[in-house]
Amino acid sequence: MLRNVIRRDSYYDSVVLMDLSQRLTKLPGVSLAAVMMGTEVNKEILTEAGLLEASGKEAGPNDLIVSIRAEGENVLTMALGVVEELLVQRRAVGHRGERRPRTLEAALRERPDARIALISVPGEYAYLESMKALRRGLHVVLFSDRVPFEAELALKQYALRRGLFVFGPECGTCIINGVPFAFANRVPRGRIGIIGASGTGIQEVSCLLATAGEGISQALGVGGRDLHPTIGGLMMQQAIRALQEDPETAVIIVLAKASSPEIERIVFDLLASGPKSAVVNFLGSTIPRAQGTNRVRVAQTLDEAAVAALGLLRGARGDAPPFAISQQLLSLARALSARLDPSARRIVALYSGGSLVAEAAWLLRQFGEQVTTDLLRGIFPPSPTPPGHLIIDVGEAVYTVGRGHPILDYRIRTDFIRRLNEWRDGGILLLDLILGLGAHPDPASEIIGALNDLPKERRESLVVVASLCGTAADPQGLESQAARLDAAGVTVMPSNAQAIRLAYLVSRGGNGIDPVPRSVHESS
Amino acid sequence: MSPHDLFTGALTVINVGLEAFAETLDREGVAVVSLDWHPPAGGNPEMIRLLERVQELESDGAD
Repeated sequence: MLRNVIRRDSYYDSVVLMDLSQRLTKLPGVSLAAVMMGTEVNKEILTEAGLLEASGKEAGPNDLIVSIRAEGENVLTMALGVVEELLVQRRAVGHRGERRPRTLEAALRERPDARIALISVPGEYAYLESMKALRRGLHVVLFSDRVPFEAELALKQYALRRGLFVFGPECGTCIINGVPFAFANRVPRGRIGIIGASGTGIQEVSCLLATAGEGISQALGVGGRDLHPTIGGLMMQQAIRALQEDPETAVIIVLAKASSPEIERIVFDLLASGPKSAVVNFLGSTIPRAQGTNRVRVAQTLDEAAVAALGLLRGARGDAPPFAISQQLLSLARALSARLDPSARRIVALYSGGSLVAEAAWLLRQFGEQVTTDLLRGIFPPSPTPPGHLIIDVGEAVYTVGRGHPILDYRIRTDFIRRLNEWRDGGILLLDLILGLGAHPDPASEIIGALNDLPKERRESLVVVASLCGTAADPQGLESQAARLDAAGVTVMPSNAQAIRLAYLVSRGGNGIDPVPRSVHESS
Repeated sequence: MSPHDLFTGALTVINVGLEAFAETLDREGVAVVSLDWHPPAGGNPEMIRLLERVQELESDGAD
């Protein structure tokens, strides 16, 4: 039986509700449960799942819909009791039980020294809340998505006039004065400043630097669209100038997907005319590596950016990226490809990091491989099988509606891995596992659990390659996660680009060439 | 104010939205105040557009 209970004027955030929905679904006798705010999008999701009754349709965006399908009245009563108990615990009090202020003004009365607001409200409210914070002189880290271009532009123009920052929207990662915002890793403080129009790009580079024994001064996420011509790189330029003035920063790394040639040039020239060494990685850019100078280097992959920055900082010249194809990598690829069915040498990449998935598609195309990145309606396995390797970004909206971000919610990926049994065309599984604050507490267990659910013969014919984005200090522990994956037969590579190279070589039976030149040192 | 000023001194954060982010900051030893946030105007889209318009007019006037 199905029951909808509506709680009027009762707002809870999506992470709290996702947690509650998962707890309800685990109760004995409950077959399906969802707890959501009554927005139009959520009501559509509930309708599709067969979980919306006539009473639920009446709910508004500020009303909570509790929807439970259970075996009988007793189970329903018990489940509703659990909901009540958990929600009462959450009402108006913080996680330490303190009363929480209802307005920004009240919060500022409590902490007049506050200088920054972390805003993660649903996208339709992001402009309003961000503008309130900016007007009170606060810098803004804006995690929210679905913020329109014109709203982003208005916020950034206003911030610029007031000497403030807007990091975001969709700012997945910032580390400011050592304080980690949203998804970030525990990395040491140091002399390299990172500015990224990409969250997972910042995570990947800051973790590689940490592993190499180097820390970061600041890591500033300006939002994936900051370099779009409409926004014009407003915050990127302000961030570069700020790090150029920052005595703690010796080398600046800029990470972004390719933008218009004009904007890339503005960024490059700003770095070239400044007082500090720098590395730029515009993924898929029109700026050739040869245009790099002794002081401003152009890197083509994230790991190359990390290596180049280390070279600049430590005074080394002509560093070759340690992750280029080597004899060792070729031998490993040959050994792994021996397990493959020769008719199934296709890579299936399931990614949670937006920049990492872009790097995978770009690098495989550089290798001359055909790649499909769009799956209609998010259906897996795809039918008919699309051409080339298949790269899926499970962080795309089509997969995340009604779920958490795949960095912390592994359900989509584990579900797709289990379905590889029905789809034999993909012989090589390529994964990114992101560790750190805000991420899933134990990604290795999720992936290993899903792989173990495959029939033995399918599991044995599958080559699994993963990169881990994390540090030894992260709550999950880089080494222990890597060791467990390794013991389960997953080949763990030290960077995303390295994992892509290995997957490519395996697909070629261990016979591949690297068209990306090795040297990162180019002088002009 | 110079944007670079952000990089000096300790940070106190106001969290607006996901409570989990405030919990993470608190665990990392960062001073954080988390708002008991609710959609403004009961989530009514027309009222929100009006509130945004008010903000815009006030922001324009602030220069």
